[in-house]
Amino acid sequence: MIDAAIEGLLGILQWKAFLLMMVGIIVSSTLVAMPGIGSKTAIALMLPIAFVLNKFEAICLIMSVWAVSNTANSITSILFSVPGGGGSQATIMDGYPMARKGEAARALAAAFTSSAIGGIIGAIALFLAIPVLRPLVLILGPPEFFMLVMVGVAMVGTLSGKSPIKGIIIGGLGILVSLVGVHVSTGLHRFTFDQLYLVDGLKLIPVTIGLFAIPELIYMAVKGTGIADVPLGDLTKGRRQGIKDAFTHWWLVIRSSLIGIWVGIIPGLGSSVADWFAYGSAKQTCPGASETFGKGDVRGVIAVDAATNAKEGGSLIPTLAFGIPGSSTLALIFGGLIIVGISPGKNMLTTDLSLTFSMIWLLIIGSIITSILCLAFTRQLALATTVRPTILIPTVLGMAVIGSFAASSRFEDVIIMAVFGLIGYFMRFAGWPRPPFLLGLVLGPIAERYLWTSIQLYGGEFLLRPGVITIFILLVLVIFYPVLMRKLSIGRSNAVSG
Amino acid sequence: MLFLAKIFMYLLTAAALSVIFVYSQDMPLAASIYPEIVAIIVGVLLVIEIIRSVPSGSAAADSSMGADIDLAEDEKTRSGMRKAGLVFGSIFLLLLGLYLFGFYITIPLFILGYMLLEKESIFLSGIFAAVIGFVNWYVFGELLSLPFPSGLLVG
Repeated sequence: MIDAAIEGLLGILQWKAFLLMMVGIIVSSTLVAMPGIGSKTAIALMLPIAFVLNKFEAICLIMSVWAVSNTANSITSILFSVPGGGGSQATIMDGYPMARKGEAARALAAAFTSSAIGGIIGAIALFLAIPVLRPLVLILGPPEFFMLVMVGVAMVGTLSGKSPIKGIIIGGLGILVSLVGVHVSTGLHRFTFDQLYLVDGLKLIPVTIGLFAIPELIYMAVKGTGIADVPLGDLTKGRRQGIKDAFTHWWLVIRSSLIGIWVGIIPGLGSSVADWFAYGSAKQTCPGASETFGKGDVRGVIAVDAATNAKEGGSLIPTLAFGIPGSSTLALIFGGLIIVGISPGKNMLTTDLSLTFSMIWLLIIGSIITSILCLAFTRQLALATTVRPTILIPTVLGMAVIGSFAASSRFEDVIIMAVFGLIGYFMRFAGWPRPPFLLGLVLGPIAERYLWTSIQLYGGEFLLRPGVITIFILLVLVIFYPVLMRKLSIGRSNAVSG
Repeated sequence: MLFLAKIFMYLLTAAALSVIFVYSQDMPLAASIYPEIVAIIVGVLLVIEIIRSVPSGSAAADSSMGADIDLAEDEKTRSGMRKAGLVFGSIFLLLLGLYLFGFYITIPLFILGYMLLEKESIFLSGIFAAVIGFVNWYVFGELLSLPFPSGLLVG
C-alpha cells in the first residue's frame, strides 16, 4: 500500500500531470465563478483533452476541475449574495453580512482556509477507508456488483428533488439510450437503425454538453447580465485574521468536515445538503451562535466551507470502491475515467491502487493550491462574475462544438449535442430533472454486463446469495434515507433562515 | 409553453419506449430482455406520472435540487422564449456553417458575428474570435491531431 501511495504521488508530481492539475484548478475556479457555467460543463469541455493523456495526467485534469469547484464558489456567495453552486448557499448566511460590515476579506480568507483543511480531511477519510473496503470488495462477485449498480440506478430517484418518479423515468431513458450500439454478449447491433454512427453508441460528452451546457447558455441569454456590477472594495484587509480564524476554530472545522464526509458517502445527497447540515450543526453547538449566526459570524462561514470540500473525499469512497457515482458530476467523471481506461470498482482497490492514491494526493495538493490561488487572486476571480453573456455564449458554444466533435471525431456528435440541447431545454421547462439521465447513461451497460455474468454463473439463484440480499436491503435504505435526510435539511435551513 | 414542454416530454418518452418494444421483437432473448424490462418499468411509471399530473391540469415546473438550476421567471415570458429561440437559431447557423465552411473558419466567424450583433466592440470581438480560433487550430488540430472535416464549400 505504501508503494502504491508513493507511486500515486509521483504520478501526479510529473511535470505534465502537475501542469494539467494547475490548468484544471484555474479553469474550475474561473468557470464556477461565472454565471451559469457549472463544474459539469467544465468537465465535459475538458474530457476530450483527457483522452490523449496517460492515466495520471487524465486524473489530474478531470478530477482537479471537480475537486476544487466548491472553493471558488464562496466568492460570489460572500461578495454578492449569489450562490456560486449547490454547496455555497449556506455561505451567504454569514458571509454576506460580514462583507456588508466591511469584513469581506476576512470571510473569504476563512472560507478558503477552512475549505483547504476540509479537503485534506476528506482525502484522509478516503485514505483510511481503503484498508477497510479492500477485503470487502475482494469477496464480492458479479451478482453483488450487479446489486450495487442497482443501488446506483436507484439513486436516480434521490437525484430528482421533488419528482422521484420523473427522475426514475429519465434515469430509465438514460439506460435505454446507453443500450444503443453493439450488444457485448451477442454482438448484435441494437437500436442502430442501420446507421454506422450508432454502432458505437451515443457518446457521453456530446450528450452531457447538450443536456447541461446549452440550457444553461439559454438561461444566461435570458438573464442578460453578469452577476456583479457592484464595487468590490478592499479585499486584502482582514485576510490574515480570516486565515487565523480557521485555525482558532479547528474543532469546528473537524466536526464540519466529518459531517461533509458522511453526507458525501451517502449517494445522491450532495453539497446542497452538506452545507446546510454543517451550518445547522454549527448553529446548535457553537457557544452564543443563536445570537450571532446570520449576522456575520465567521464560524458560520468556516463550518460550511469545511463541510462542502470534505464531502468530495467522502463521495469518492462509494464511487471508487463499488462503482456507484454519488452525483451526476461524479457519473460524468466516472464515464470519463472509463474512456481513458480506468475502471472504477474492484480494480481501484487492487491493481490500480496507485491511481486511487493519486486521487487522494490530488485532493490534498489541489485543495491547498486552490485556496492559496483564491486568496491571492480573489479580486481577479470576482471580476470573472462580471463577464457578460454576450461574450460567454458564443465562446462556450464554440468550445462546446469542438468538445463534442472531439469525443469521436464525428460530425454527427455535434448534431447529437444540438438535439440533446433541445431536449435539455424542454426538460428544464417541463420540470424534469436532467442529472438522472447521465447516471442511467453511464450505469446502464455496466448493470447489463453484471446481470448476464451473474446469470451465466449462478442462474436465477444469484438473487438468493446473502451478499445480494444484504445489498438489496441497502438499496431500500438508499431510496428512503436521502428523502428523510433532505426533509431534515430543509427543516434546518428553514429554521436557520427563519 | 410549460404545457407544451410537458407534452413533448411525454411524447418523447412514449416514442422511445415504442421503439424499444418494436425493435426488441426481432432480437434474441439475451439482447432484448434487459431493455424490455427497463422499458416496462419506465412505461408503468410514465402512466403513473401522466395520471398524477392530470388533476393539476397545467404544468407547474418542479424545482430540482443540486445540479439542475431552477427555471427563472424571465425564461417563461415571451421575451425569454424568444431569446431561447435565438440561441437555438444561432446553434443551427453554427452547425450549417461547420458543414459548409469547416471548423477552422466557422468557429471564429461565429464568435465574431455573435458578439458584434450583440453590440460588443469590434476589438473585443476580434480578440475572442482569434483566441478561440487559435485554441481550435493549435490545441485541438495540431497538438491533439483532431481530424476536423473540411467544409462542403471551403476546405
